[in-house]
Amino acid sequence: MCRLELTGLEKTYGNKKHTKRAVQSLTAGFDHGVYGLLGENGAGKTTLMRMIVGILKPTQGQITCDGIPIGQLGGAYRNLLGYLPQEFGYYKEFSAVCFLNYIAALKAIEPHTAKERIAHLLETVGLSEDAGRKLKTYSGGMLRRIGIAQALLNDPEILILDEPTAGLDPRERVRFRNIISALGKDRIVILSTHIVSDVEYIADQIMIMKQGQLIKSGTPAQILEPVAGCVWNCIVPAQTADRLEAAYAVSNLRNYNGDDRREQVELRIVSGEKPHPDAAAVEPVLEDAYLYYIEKAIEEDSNETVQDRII
Amino acid sequence: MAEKYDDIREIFCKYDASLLIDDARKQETLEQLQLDQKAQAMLSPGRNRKHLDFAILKYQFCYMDKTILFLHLAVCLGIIFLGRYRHWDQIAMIVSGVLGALSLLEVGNLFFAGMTELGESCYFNVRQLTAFQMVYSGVISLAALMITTVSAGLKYQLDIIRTGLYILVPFVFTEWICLTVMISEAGRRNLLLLIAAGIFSGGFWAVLSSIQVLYESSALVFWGMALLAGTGMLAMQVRRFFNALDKGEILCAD
Repeated sequence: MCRLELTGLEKTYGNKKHTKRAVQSLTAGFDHGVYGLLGENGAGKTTLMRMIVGILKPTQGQITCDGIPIGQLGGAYRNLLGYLPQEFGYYKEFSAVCFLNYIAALKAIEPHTAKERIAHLLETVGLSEDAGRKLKTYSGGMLRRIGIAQALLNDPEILILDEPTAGLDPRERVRFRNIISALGKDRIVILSTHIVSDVEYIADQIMIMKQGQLIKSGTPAQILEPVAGCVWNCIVPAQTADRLEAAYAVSNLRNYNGDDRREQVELRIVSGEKPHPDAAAVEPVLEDAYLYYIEKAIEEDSNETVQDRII
Repeated sequence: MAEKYDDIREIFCKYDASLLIDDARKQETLEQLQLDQKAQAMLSPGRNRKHLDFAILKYQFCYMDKTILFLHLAVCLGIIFLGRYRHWDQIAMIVSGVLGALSLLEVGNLFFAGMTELGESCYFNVRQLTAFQMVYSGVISLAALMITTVSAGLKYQLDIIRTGLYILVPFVFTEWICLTVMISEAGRRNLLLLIAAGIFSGGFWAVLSSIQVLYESSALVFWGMALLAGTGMLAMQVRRFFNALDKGEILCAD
């Protein structure tokens, strides 16, 4: 098993006049286990993953595998990798088996080993019956599953999955989560998503990114701990709900229709202070924690308080 | 036996004492040795690197998308057939322009299919794959042109060296134009742009091939200079392309 270290990682795009810092001063370490990378669109997750894979070169900082910079390891490092990009291309006329054989050839897997692995992986992702069909006839979910299969072809020690559940239906997502959870036992699995429930049950470590920075990382328990006592539930009239929604981070909102609570709204609010006299504290879940840290980062950036927003 | 080794050890110690050892360089060498060992261990136990590279190239031919390769080979066969035509030296320019474009179409196929991001994460990465494709497609094109020129030269007593110049100049310039298109974002995303560049180049050389003055002996200097300039420009563009691959941004799907 290997260890990945990211030290002072930075990536900037553009020229001297218009520079965009996609990743800023990011330091992290990865041992075996599942790492869930959470962040809104544009937070820098994909750029970070591309740097870990070695596709993009960091502007500053370095990535080491067992203490050796990945650039020096070259093919030896890529031999340890399995990668599922957010969008991956394929030759449309290829069947699933042809495509997997081609990727196996790129991954330097010998044909007889590849044949066994492909049959096993197609079974794992539930595509054995469609193995001979051309990829251009596959649905988005099926293509995602083929993407997952190709990432696992070389039995990688480091598995990088960028938005792996995009396009999968709920049943496929559950199935996929279980596969990932099993894989994380003896390898590094880094998966990025903006769907919190994807990582809630399987991630050993959660990392939250915002605007290229790692704003919080830790085990799910460590992530949830500071949020205890900061999640509130209340049922209020619609007009009050609008005001609260503007002032606080609302993780859930439910409008009541057709019963005796008509015109009432149930809100789940993430806030350090009690947002309404009728609000009751509830147990936080990861989604609440995610909102809590994102809101906290926004407040720190703008020095804006809840009171300012109420005014 | 042990005594014998003790003697050797003594001799080494005696002579080592008179040597000045640079500690920094010693440490550097040890680190490099460790790195090599680590890389070899990660690669695959018991597998020879050269054998592995050869096997990868073999598997590439087995499993890659061969659509453009078959088209390329079909055009090459057609060209060899064209060698029977009496004025081969005049149509050779257009033909080599077309082959120059086809050679790069094979490289472009990887980009048009959006396979580069995934490919770069594999052991045999995009840089190696592109170099491999450039080499074999270039070799196929040049081999077809050479076979045709030599056979036409023998049949119709053409000056083979001169006809070779008429072929190589359009070939390197077309490759340069197509590679320039490929370096641009729009060119990498759109197959039609590359085809258009190939057609433009073919048309340009068709016009040039109709100018009789260019076939005179006095024009040989022009052809020689053009070949030198074209080769230099192509080499620079290849370098630019590989530098861009190294940076990685052109490999990303978005």
